[in-house]
Amino acid sequence: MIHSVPEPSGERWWAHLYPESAVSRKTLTHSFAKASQERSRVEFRAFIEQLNGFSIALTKPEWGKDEYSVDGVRCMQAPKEESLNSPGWARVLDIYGRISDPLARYVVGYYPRLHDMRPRGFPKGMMDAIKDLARLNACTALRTAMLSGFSGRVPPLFDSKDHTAVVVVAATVDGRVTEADVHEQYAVLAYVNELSKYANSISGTPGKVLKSEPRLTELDVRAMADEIVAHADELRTHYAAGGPSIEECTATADSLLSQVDAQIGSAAREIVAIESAAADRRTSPGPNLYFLREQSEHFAEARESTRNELASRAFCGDILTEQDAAYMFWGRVNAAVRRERTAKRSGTTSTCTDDEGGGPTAPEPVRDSMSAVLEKVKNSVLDFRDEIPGGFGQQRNNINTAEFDIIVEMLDCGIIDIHDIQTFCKQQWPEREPNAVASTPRTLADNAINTIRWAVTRSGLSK
Amino acid sequence: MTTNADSAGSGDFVIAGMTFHEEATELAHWSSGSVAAVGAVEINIGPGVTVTVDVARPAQVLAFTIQDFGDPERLVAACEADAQTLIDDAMRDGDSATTELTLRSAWARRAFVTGVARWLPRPIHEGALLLDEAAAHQAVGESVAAAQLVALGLPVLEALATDCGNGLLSKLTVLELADISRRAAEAVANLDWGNGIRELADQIAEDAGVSELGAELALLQWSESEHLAPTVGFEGALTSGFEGALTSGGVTEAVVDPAAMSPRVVAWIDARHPELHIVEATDGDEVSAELRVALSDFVDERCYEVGRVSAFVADPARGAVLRTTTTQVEEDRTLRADLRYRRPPSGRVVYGIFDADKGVSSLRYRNIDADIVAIDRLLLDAWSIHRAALVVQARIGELDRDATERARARAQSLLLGAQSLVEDASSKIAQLQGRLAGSDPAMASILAARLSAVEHYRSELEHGNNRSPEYEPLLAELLPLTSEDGVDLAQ
Repeated sequence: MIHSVPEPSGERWWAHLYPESAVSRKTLTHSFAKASQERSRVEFRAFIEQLNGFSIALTKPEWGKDEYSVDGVRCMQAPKEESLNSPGWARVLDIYGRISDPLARYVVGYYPRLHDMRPRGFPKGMMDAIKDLARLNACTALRTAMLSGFSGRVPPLFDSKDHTAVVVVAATVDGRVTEADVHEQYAVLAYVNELSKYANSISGTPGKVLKSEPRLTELDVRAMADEIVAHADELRTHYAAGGPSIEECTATADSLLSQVDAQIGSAAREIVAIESAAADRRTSPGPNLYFLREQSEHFAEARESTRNELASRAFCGDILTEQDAAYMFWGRVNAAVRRERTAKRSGTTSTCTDDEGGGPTAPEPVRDSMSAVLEKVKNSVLDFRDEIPGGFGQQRNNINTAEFDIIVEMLDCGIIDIHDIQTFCKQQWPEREPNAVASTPRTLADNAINTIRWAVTRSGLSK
Repeated sequence: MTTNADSAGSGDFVIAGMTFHEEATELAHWSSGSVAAVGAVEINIGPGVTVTVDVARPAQVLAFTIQDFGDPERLVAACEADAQTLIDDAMRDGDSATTELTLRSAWARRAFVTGVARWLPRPIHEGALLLDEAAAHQAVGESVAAAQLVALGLPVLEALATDCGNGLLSKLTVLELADISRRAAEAVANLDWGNGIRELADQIAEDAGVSELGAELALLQWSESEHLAPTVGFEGALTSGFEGALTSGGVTEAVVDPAAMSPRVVAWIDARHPELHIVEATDGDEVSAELRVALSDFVDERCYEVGRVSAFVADPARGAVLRTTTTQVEEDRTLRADLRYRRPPSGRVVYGIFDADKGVSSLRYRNIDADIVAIDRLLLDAWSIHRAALVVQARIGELDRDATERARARAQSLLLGAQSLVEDASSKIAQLQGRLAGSDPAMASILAARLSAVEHYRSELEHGNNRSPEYEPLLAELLPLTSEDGVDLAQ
């Protein structure tokens, strides 16, 4: 057992930083982080946050205060921009070098692993946001939990000088920390929770964001939030299964679900009441029944997934209320209803509805006018075939391109929803491939979608 | 960009994911007669009201369109005070004697931010761009769109607040961040997580107040971003003599057309540097080509945009695309596509990549297009270097004397570089115009309009005119960048 905190490689590589005149904590920390970076590169912004976090926490325990000395503690407690001329700075730097630096590196070491677990397919700006969740939020959550002892499962990191020394040596010398399993599981759960919180903020805003080119493509932010939640749930299932005290957290989750359970019960009673009233012909089952039924199909699945999120957030030390549980539950139910409606939209057109109120989707435009429009669009494809971008209207070896033929067919059958076009192109691919300009079913669908858009504009309909 | 509440109405229908109006007709269309020198940006001022500007001169309206369901008053309100007469004239006669229409500053900024997102070829902080966009929407009263963008950029805002507290941002950046976070807090004030943003904004403002970041730290940060510059290729832009595509021994090079996709997805060196490398193998007339392009170091390979990059090969003589296909990300962060096609009678083909959401209608592969694409790339390159010069100039206030001199010199050399690229583009346009004057008068007249716009841009660059507030650096331009391989540094 090692009884003192070691000096890595036996030298004070930070010694040249001992200040000779007044300096602020911000500036000195910055210089230290730079010097550390020169010894071995580390993600700078993540590192400096954890370095600060551990160093400040170490001013709390008695043994930490002793290490810092009275002057050092004073330096740490002064406002971070205040310039001080103090002998305490040397002690501060020693603690940075011997304790905080290896711990900060250890925590930031989880970042690349978490980053590898990120979801794919979101716009580049959102990918930056998701990267920050791994880089900062999840690492900070891990540090906080290490300091507090993971709700009593292991001793708090700074509870004694000996314990700290063991962890520091393990993190630097052999790279194997005894509690690494707990840390690893916790880091993943913290990341998963950050993803869920991100998704909650996104789905808490109404509607859609248009991409930078107006009217071209819309990003449905709520659909994106659903995808993030689904990814988070998957990671949680994959990494959080079988944790030692998950049971306790599950018990907490169950108790938080009592309000949700009451709501589920009253929704079920309401369905029965409306149905029996309708059966007695006292009233007609309105859209409300339809919507309640739609929701109730997802109750079980949403309850299970809410229970998992509650349990893992409790595991990460989040304090949650029944209200939070209800919010999470209904968010999932409504997201599932939305997903199902999107999937159900078939060959007919769909309108851009704002289903905030949760009512049935808005009435679709009259079919007749739609057929007339599609006829017009199809005629544009036929009449102006030589103008079609990409030359898809030109024959190759006296044969139409697969793009041209499939577009005409789809317009005839009213297959104009993006999802339907993609499915149809995929189904048709084997027989279409020989004459296709596209070399995959996905590109065939892309070509068709864009040509149809062109044809709509070409027929004089405006965007 | 409008909020969704505005857009759909009766008579709207969706075909292939795009919303159309069945009966809508144009109430008015007006054109100033000028075209964009660098990149056209179209924004919605309100439902059915669209305005086009040049990203290099975002306050000047090039054209507007009002649909019959659009409200002309929205346009009047978005423009400087004298707009009413012009708009009335345009509504009545479809024309007006006046040729100048100016957007109010907040709307010009809104168009500018959209334009930077769309056109800037060099890397910027993509996450912070969400916050710039949010602030721009909020400033023109589009708070629903602003709130959505704040939600999408929330972790970035939190991370920047942390960096700010840790003293990692320069004073200029913190001031911009403080402004943007104040707007963000406004946008989400009514949401349940809105209070958290207000606290964040207050904390940043407080940090901005005390941030007497000594010149030392500011300099450190400034030299860090300067350190990035070589990888971003400003020097290359000024010295490279590479011209167009080359073909030799089955190996071909080709350039990205910025009109077909966001140029920031790939590693942009400079206007003349071809990004695409193609190796061909032939068997009689059958060609099998492998196309490769390096991704930008500052874009996540798992992002949506990378997934949507498609490749094509086309026959310029016939004006037909021969093959389109998807691309895959390889281990070394390059995109690869395999194109198999039959060599056309002319023997000449054009390779390229494009955003599948834009589709083949955005492709330019006819014989004349190579020159036009080269001109567009020169001008985007020039504008992007111009932007870099403005960022350096903006920093001058927070530097000490030595650094100030170096910064001035650097800004000056960047501006000269931008000017020389614009001159180059200008003479290319003139040449092309001369060549086409007899054969293609319509194209020649488009080129004449372009030339006059480019000349105007050149004189602005020479005289350093454009210092209007809407043209100030974005947060996304000010922040230091972390490359994707920065993640590995954590190990």
